Amino acid sequence: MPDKITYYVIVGGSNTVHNPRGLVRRLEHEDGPSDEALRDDFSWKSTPVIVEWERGDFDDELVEVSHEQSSKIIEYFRHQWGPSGQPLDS
Amino acid sequence: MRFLDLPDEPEHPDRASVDGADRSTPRRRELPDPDERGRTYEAMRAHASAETAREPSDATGESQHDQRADGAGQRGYRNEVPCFMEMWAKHERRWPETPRHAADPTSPDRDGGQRQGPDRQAETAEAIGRVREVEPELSANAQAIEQENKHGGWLDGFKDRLKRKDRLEEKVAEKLEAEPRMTAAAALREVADAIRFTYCFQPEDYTRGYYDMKERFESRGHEMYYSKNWWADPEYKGVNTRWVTAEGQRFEVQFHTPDSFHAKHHVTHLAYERIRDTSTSRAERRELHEFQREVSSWIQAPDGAADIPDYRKEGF
Repeated sequence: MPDKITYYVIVGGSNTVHNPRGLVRRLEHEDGPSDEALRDDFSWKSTPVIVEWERGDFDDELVEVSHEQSSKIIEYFRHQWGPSGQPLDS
Repeated sequence: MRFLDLPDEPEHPDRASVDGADRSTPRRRELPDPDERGRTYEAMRAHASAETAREPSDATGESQHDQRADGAGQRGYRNEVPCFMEMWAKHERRWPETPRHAADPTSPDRDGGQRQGPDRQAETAEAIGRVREVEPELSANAQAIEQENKHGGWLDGFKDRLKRKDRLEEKVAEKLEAEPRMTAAAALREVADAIRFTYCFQPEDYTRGYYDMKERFESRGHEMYYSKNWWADPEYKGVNTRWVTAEGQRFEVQFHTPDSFHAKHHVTHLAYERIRDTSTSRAERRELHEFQREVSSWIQAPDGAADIPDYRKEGF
C-alpha cells in the first residue's frame, strides 16, 4: 500500500490539462517510488515516463493534478476511449 | 573497463573538432558544497558492499577517498573519476545486470500486443527513414556552427548524433503506452532527440557560448521551442534544448562543460538507464540516484549558467 500517490496528466501539442494525452502516477512506498501509466484498457502499468520527464528525456510535459481531477480525467478517457479502450462512437 | 575511459586532453583546446572526438582540459575549480558532497558520499557508502565498509581510515577518521587530491592539493571532478568507477563497479557487483523489459521493445509485454504489427513497423521505418534523410544537412549545419563559434565550443559525441533504431522504437513504445491514442508516426515526429548535437565549452566560456550557439542556430532558420537548465539539479548538469527546422524536423542540442559531458556520457549513463528501467527494484534505484548525486556534486557550474532561462513554446 503506497503512502502517497501523485497524479500527472501528459500534455503537449494541442493537448492541455483539459484534453490530456495520458495519465501517469507516482506511488510513494517506504523504500522508494514506483511509477505507472494508465493504459487504454484502464489498467495501470509500470512506466519510465515520469523518470524520463524528470531528466528532460521525455518529449511531452507532465502537469500534476489532484486525485479528484484524476478521477474526472479517467472519466474523460472512458468517454473518449470507451469502457474497454474503444471509442464510444465507433 | 569502459567506464575508465577519460576524454583525451585536447592538443588544441581553442580549435573546434569536426569529428566530435572527446576532448577536455581539466582546470582548477572551486569545490562543490562540501556538506552536500559528504552527505551524498556517506549515503552511498552506507549502501555499498561490506568491502567498501572495510576501506582503511587514518587516525583522523578520513577514508582514502576523502584524502584524494590533485597535485596542487585541489580536489575536483577529474580526481574523483577513479572513485566513481570503483563505486559503479561495486554497484554492478551488488546488483548484477538481469534481463530487462526495457531493452526489448518488441516484447509483447510492452503494449499488450495491441500496437505491434506490420503497420506500426512500417510507420516506424518510414519515420526513421525521414530522420536519416534530413540528418546530413542538419549535421553539416551543426559542424559549420562549431567552426564559426567565437567561444571555443566543440561538438562532442558527434558519432552518436543519431539515436539507434532500437532505442527509437523503444521510446515510441513507451510513449504509446502512456499516450494510448497517439499514433506511432505522430510519436516519432515528436521525438526531439532522434538527432542530437552536443556542444562543450570550457566553464569560463560556457554561458556566452550558449547564447552564441543559440543565435547561430536561429540565424539558420531553426526555432528553439524548449530549453531546460539542469545546472541546479542534483543529479544531472547541463542545458538541454530542443529545436525544430522550418520543415518540421525536431532535434536536440545539449550544452555541456567537459566535466558534465564526461559525467553524463562515461560515468552515469548506465545508472540512468537502470533508473528508467521499470524492472529495476526500488532499493537499487535509490542507490542509483545516490550515485548520480555523488558524481554531479563534483561538477563545477560555470559562471552565469544558473541564469540561462528555461523556455517552452506553447503548442510543443
